[in-house]
Amino acid sequence: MNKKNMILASKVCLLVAMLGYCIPVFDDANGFAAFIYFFGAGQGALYIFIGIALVLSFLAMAASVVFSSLYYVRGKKDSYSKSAAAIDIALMFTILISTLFALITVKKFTEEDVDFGLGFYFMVYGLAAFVIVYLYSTLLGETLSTKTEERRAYWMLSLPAILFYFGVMTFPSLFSVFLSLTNYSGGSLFEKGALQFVGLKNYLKVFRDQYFYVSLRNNFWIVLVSVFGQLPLGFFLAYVLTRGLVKGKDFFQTMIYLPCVISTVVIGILFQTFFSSHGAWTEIMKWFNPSYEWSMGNRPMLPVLFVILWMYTGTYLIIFMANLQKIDPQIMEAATIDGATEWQVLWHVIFPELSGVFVISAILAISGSLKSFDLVYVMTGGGPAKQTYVLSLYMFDKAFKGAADYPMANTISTIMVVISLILIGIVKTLEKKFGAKEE
Amino acid sequence: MNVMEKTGPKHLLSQVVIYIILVFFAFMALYPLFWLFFSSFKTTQEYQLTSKLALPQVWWWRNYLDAWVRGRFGTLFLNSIIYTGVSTIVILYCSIAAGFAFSKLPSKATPFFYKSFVVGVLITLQCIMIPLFFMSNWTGLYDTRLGVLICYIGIGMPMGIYLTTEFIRSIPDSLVESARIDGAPYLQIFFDIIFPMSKPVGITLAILTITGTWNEFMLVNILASSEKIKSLPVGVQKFSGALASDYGKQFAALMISVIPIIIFYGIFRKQITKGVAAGAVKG
Repeated sequence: MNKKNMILASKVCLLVAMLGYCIPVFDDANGFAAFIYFFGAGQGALYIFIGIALVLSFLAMAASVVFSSLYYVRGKKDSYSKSAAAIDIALMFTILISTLFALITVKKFTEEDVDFGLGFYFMVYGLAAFVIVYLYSTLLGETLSTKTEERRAYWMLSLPAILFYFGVMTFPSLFSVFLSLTNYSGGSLFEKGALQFVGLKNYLKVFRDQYFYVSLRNNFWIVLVSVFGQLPLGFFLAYVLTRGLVKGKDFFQTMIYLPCVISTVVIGILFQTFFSSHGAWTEIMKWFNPSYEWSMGNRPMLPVLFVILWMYTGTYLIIFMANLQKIDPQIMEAATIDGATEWQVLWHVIFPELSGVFVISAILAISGSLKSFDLVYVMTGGGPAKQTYVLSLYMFDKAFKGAADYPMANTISTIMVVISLILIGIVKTLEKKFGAKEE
Repeated sequence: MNVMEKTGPKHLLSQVVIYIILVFFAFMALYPLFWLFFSSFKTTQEYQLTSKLALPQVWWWRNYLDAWVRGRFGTLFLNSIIYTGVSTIVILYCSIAAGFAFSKLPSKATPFFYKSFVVGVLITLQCIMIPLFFMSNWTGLYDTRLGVLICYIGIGMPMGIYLTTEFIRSIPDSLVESARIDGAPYLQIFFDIIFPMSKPVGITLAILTITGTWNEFMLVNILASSEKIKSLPVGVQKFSGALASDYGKQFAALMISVIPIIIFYGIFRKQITKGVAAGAVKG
């Protein structure tokens, strides 16, 4: 891909954006009708400005396309001269500013209640593609100094990822902390009284709520099941499979991991029915105890915990298997030749080697318990009487069920962020400690 | 296989015990799914009246047809495919590009960005759910496919960056340097050398993203309200909520949504397990 082709490709994207003007942009009016409409509406300066911006953006698009095609057809050069590049960039900014001005103003500040048509999407996506491809084209060609090229390439390659990540994850997690200190509950941020600092009031409210402790307790149960159920089980199965004690390693691994790839929602619904009075569980129990009656009341968390054990043991199996395979088989062989029994190999060779993995898996289990939302939401919905709440579900219900209490929900999610961050800190220190031991 | 050579009666016994345990676990893992499979062929009447554990007397395949039509599975599948496909492609491009920048291009900004991505691996989606909901409302992206897609891409980023950076770091520097001496711009090095060489990590990442996004429930649940942009898990949940006592159709609906991922798992199980191990161990 040389520079010339890249620039021409960017202009093709611009043609797509221009095509948007020929099909409906706003409501049913097509783009050209919109020029006339906004000029003729006679509702004041704002409308005339929109009209001017629309015309300007269209003309600039056309100019940009014509300019580069003329330049290349007549000059047959591979890259722009400095002045030509300046012209092209100036046109690009004209297009961007005028188009965005027109679209945002129409939607936000006029009294018209407009819906965007197909042409709008052509314009926006065409423009976005144009800008991206054009920016990439500036990296090719010999006119740049090495340092400049290096710096530009760095940002061009890493910026998309950084923008997505900071926009979707970093900013919201910091913002959630901020919101937990305010009384903000939806709507415009700038409205009067919409955003007031209330200090730690929300936190006090959460800590006084009995359901917070119910959720915390249930999260704790999930952690316990993970650490004392999934981990040992996963390790045992992985050990048996990797040590070559049985045949059909692949088969068993595939079967035991299978539940992990299935959607939690499906599993939740399946087990909800499975454990209900209309399900298979009651019937199985009746074999052992004919007078068995289904009751959800006494231990509502038990089915959930069972399903968590059932679903995620496979994950730990995989983790342990991968790490067991990393241990040098010669060490184990040497130990066996020296007369060590299977137990001694396990105790003196394998456990010390895997200690780091055990700790990290335990922390994964804790962060996994914070993530357990889908399953509980689908299986019990928190009921009966909110006894199966977990933190994430507690937060979800505060925000989206009944009377929305967003500040409180944000507080809960902040508490979850804090727990996560503490875990990350622990993982990092442990990684350093155990990582040093391995080398 | 030293252990296998010691075949005493005691060893044989422990072999049998181990097999029994393994078969028990494999059975436990499979049985609920098998139960779902054959129950989905029963009419609701048969399910309620006869034993829950018996095979269906008549294999009533019409459940599937009814569920497909009433659950509008066509739309749900289309949406799930759009979400999974687009976010996988964008995540692949963005993370390989950024992984290349972080591992091979000298810059003072790298440690800060890389560390913040690593922190992101453990930030759970639940923690940012409500701010995301607000933000999608402010930007007008609430209840649009684009809004859901942007969130999926952002959430997939930390894991992607982590895997690709580690991988591209292991590609020898001399490869990049010799191309630089020949006068190739970084962008060309990226497209001609690094991108093709990142195929193994690309496959791992694609598989993690595909399974994750296909099964994702919560995000679409809060960011979408209209039927036509919902994905498979949300649709299935709504559908079976509405038909809670119509067991036959409910089971058929569950089966429909399970089948694609099981086929996918069947084909790629080696890569999936490898990817999970690679993704999980770093914690």
